Amino acid sequence: MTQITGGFSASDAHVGMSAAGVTFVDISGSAASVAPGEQTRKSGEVYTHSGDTAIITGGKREPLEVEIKIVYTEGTGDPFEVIRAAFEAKTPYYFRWSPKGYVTGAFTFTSDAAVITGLTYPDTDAGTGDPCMCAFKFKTAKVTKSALVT
Amino acid sequence: MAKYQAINLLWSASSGRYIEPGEVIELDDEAGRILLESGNVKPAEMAVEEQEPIRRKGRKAQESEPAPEENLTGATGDLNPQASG
Repeated sequence: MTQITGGFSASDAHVGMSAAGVTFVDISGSAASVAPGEQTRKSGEVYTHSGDTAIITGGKREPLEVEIKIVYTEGTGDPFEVIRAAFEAKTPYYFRWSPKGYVTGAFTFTSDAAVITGLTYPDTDAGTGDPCMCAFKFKTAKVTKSALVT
Repeated sequence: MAKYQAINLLWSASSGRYIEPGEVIELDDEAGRILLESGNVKPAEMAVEEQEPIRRKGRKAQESEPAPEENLTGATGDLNPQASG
């Protein structure tokens, strides 16, 4: 097979969040990484007296969790404060990320209204000059792939 | 600007909604080119508009037709002469 040529770095990815899933606020300037967990599908199997292998059946897709690491800042409308408040109030949010960035034609992956299931408060380390970071996880039933029209 | 038909699911940032496959959208040239090249849209098929055959009216026929204004309003031009009196 000829080597593929469409590979790219996701360092300029776009990350957004939205309360209603219509207008997404760009949090790319705060988000440092998006780490989607594996989405799995329920499956089952049974062995019969005849044959040598199992009969395997597929069930529903299971929810998935996605972790986003963000720079810890203390502004009122900054992502940390918005996420912290949403976590405490159980407010659902839609999240999306586009590995190729916010450009027309780029694939974007959008969650359903997701529950923020985890919040990692800012860490500290005297032995580093790195920015103070925090993180959160959200759980969504699915992620929808679409192509951006900016 | 030109019209395209979505092949894949698109997200319109300007309208804040998904564009379903099969839906016709209007895109500027650059966006249309990018999405066309990436196989996300195709040019929309031009709908053939049915046109009524143009009938030429003869001078005589035009003259014989009453002016619609006269029928509706009467000589005063008032839409409801009773109310105005």
